[in-house]
Amino acid sequence: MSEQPHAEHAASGPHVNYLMIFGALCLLTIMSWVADEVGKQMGGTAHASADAHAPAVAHEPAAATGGFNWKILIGGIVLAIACTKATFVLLYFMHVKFEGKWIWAMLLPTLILALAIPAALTPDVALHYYTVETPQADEYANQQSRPEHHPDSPSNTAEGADGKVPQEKHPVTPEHPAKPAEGKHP
Amino acid sequence: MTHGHGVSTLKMGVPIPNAKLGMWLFLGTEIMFFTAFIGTYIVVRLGSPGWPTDTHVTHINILAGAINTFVLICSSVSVVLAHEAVHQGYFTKAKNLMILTLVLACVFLGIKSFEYYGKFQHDILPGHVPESNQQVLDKMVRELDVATGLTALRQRQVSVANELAKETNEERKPRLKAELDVVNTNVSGISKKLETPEFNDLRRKALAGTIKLDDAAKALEKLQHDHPEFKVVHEIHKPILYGNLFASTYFLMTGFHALHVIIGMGFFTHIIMLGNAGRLGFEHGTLVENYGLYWHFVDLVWIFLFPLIYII
Amino acid sequence: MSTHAPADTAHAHDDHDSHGHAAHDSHGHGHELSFFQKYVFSTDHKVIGIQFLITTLLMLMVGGALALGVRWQLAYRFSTMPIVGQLVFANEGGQISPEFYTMLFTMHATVMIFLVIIPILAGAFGNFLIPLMIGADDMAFPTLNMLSYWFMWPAIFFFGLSFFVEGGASSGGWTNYPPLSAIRAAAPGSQDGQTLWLIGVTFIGVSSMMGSVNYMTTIINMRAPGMTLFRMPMTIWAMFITAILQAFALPVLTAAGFMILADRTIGTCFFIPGGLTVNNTPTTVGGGQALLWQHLFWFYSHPAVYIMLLPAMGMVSDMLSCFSRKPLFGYKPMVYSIAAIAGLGFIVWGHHMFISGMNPALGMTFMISTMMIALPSAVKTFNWLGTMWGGNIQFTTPMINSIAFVSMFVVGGLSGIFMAAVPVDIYIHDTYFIVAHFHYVLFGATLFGCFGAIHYWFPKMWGRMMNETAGKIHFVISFIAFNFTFFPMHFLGAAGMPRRLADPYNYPYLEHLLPLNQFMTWSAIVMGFAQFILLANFFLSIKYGKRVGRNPWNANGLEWTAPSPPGHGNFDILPVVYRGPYEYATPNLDVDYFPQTQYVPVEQRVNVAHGH
Ligand code: HEM
Ligand SMILES: [Cu+2]
Repeated sequence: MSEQPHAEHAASGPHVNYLMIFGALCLLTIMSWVADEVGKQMGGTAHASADAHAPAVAHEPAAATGGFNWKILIGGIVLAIACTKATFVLLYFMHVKFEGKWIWAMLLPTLILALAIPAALTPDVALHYYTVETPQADEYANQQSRPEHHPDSPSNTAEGADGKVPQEKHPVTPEHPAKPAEGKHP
Repeated sequence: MTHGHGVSTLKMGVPIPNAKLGMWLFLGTEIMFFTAFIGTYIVVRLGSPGWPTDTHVTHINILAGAINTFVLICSSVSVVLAHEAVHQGYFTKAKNLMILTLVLACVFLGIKSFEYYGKFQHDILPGHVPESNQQVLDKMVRELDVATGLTALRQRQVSVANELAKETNEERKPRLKAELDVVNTNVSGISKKLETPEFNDLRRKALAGTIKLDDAAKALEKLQHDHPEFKVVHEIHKPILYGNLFASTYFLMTGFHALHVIIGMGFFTHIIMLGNAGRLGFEHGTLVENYGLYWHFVDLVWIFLFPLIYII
Repeated sequence: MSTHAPADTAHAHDDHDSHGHAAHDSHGHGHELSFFQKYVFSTDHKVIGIQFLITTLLMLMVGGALALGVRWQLAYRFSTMPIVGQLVFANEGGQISPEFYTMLFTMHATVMIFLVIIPILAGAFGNFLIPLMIGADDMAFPTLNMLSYWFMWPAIFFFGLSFFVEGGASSGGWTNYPPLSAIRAAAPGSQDGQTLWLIGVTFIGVSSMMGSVNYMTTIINMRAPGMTLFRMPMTIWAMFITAILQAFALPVLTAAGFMILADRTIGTCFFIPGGLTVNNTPTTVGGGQALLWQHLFWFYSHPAVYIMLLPAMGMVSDMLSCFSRKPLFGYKPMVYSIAAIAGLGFIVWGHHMFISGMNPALGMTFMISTMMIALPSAVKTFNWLGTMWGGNIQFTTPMINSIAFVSMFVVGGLSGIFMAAVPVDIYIHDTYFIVAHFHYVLFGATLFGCFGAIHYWFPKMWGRMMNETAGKIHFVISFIAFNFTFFPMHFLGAAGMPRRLADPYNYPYLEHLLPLNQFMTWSAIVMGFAQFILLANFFLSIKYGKRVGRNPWNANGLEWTAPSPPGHGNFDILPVVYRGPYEYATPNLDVDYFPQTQYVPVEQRVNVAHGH
């Protein structure tokens, strides 16, 4: 095979400075990492509970952070960054920018459908219009709220032997809040 | 299969080769495929009261994720440069860039398997994560029983008893009965042998749920120190609320992504083999472009997986 | 002013001859093909189409047999089945057990939907017709095409195998709702049979996905010169839009299938709620959502019901226009309404979940969108009527089947609107009313459309005609028996008889329905056996049918300019298209049809314009 650049073919194909795109993508990746670190500093909500013992319980969103929800902000920022990166890859690496209109006729409906799925699932699966029964969450909150749980506490002596989990329904109420995050920050 | 790279002017349609159009349409279906996984992850996570986000619990390594993102971006660049090289007629360069891409894909998988390894080590696997104190203890007991061989014996006990009940041939019954006796004695034998006070105490209390997790962890550690056969029992960690759902989504999303990476490596190998055979030529422009498109899509999926899994 | 006979015009463009051959030779293997390459692992779209057709016809009989099992139980519950009973259910004394009943209806639906309706439309007719009707020599990706056929066989194998594994075949219904389908202990059929079911459906999914990418590429990029989008026959439009539906809806089901497979095998918990105890198994841990499956499933399966209808709509449009000897009434509205059906089809899936505990806000939305989808459906119906209106109708077998299609679709579509209304659906959901609805659209419409299409394009496949008399006998028996079988189901539904119940008469309020059910069963048996007429007619006509030339129906489409049967590469010369496919009964022509390839010299066109 000839190793000479072929005049005819050399002309074809768009000229993109791929290294610049590469730089931009790297920069954006670093930015999302930085955003994450910032999130951790500001109330540690990007990782809501550095303490393994008490994951955030969504019954009380942002309870530990005093109102402002950093978690959502950081989440929004990193997703926006991801979308920007995806746009770069699509436009330049995948040459969408240099294709004809047909590519949009194909991409746009796909993207709309792709967004529609989570959107349509949200009212049903993500938000519960009914009362969710989450035995494990309730039990968890219940157990964590009694750190000095007595070794002989009868409520915990259910027939665990055959793998059954005791199923008490202790709603997470203000009296029984999930234990807030404590110490152990990285 | 592909009707060439040139576009027949005698056909109606869009001015691109069939193969490329087909690849784009295929990528459309792929978008929907991953949308189902990612969409499920998003709604399931939003809908769960609680989600493990602490990296010490989930054994998710943000740095590893970021490095992997970087690796995939590099590979995307190298594959697009390879495509350009084919167009310009630098076929050796194209082949070398393909080798580079293949290596980067391997690096990606390497880092990924390192992460998976961490999860397997700590048993953060779907269906294995205890979500309450009692489940932690139950799991420990289950694993203790596996370690002592009790579980296997019990299963044997049940299956032999079942066989005996079903057996209609009178002549074969005595043999089964004898086997059942052996198994029965073995079961009690095992409990005898293991009736060290510590073990019995731990197992009984764990079953009854009358021991604190910290104490159980200490007792287990001691047991493992005295009897190395208990090393297979996983260390005790705190219950992880919604850890199973987390592990489910994590493994399925990254698993299918990794599968796509592996398929992409097959594509690159194809080009490299063509290059080695000296057959890589202008006519492979579309092929290299298609493989490239596929690979960019794999990169694209990761671009979304990275913040969704590692950061948020 | 008159033009020459259409059959000759196909040869009129010598300047394109060379291209025709070029296209032909570019395959490079036109000469010595072994038997295997030619008839088994063929990459020729026509062979693949016929392979699909024969496979699906055989599967139709299998699915029909399963359905007769279901009907037997509903008429003569727990009584020994004649002939087959002692062979199949020997250890139950020749009876159908309730567990086996659930397997029967599950596998009946599975076979009919995944192995008959979808592959006969897209696989058989899509493959056979697309290249011929757009003037291409083959599909864009012939090898992929071959694979898409052969991926059907693992599915057939796994579905078949599932009857013989422990616990038997899947019994979760074709909708496969968890937890029944996700927890192995839930039912006998929830064991390995369920896993095999999921694997089989995944294979069908991959097969359809390969097919749809292929069809889309072919239709977009391989049309003959002059075949603009709005000169494409309705069949092609329908196939195109079906392929789009399939390409974008199916991956979601495939992904959901992988999730439920993982739930069953590796312990994930996407669809299994926490704290659930089923049949004394350990309580589940996790916290997935069973409703999620329903959403993902119907996100595919509602578009899928249109995948099971649109191609038939397209083919019927072609047949109606041809045998009414009239242009299709409102070609563009037809195209737009198919597109609208497809578009709306993506946002109505929730009408299957009104009673599932779905968010009521969604119920409202889905109710409205579902009602809206009836509009384009109605547009199409009126256009079909408009096509026939005042036409010079020829009551051939394809035509009467097409008319049956239209009328049965009206019945099924109207019951659809009933069920779309939430308050009504609360009462009739999961009753026989639903069963009546979908059999009217799937059997009454789609399958009769397919019967028509088989008779219509048979001469193109084999160069021979199917027997008209046999075709009409088959039609009359099937049509009457079909209505006797399925129309009473509306009444059953109104009387509150639930579907998927092995012994409804256990409940006193349903006892009086037994005689009606027995009548329906006998109708179903007649209908089932009538299909042997079709099979016999089909297979015998391959050998003994009357020989015909290229264009036995005097139709306009490109496929009729190719030889019958077309050779490798389809056209002896590359066709060039000058007009749409529905110019029947054009004034000032000697004949009442005007093939798409027919060129009219300028002088003649001037004459026509001046009305000479
Ligand atoms: C006029 C258009 C249509 C409307 C408004 C409509 C509406 C509906 C509704 C609301 C249901 C759910 C009923 C329930 O489960 O309670 C349903 C079920 C069904 N429809 Fe339709 N439909 C239409 C056309 C079709 C067509 C054309 C097909 C197939 C070719 C079809 C196939 C089915 C099937 C298979 C089911 C039952 C699925 C199951 O539960 O197993 N429908 N339809
Ligand atoms: Cu529907």
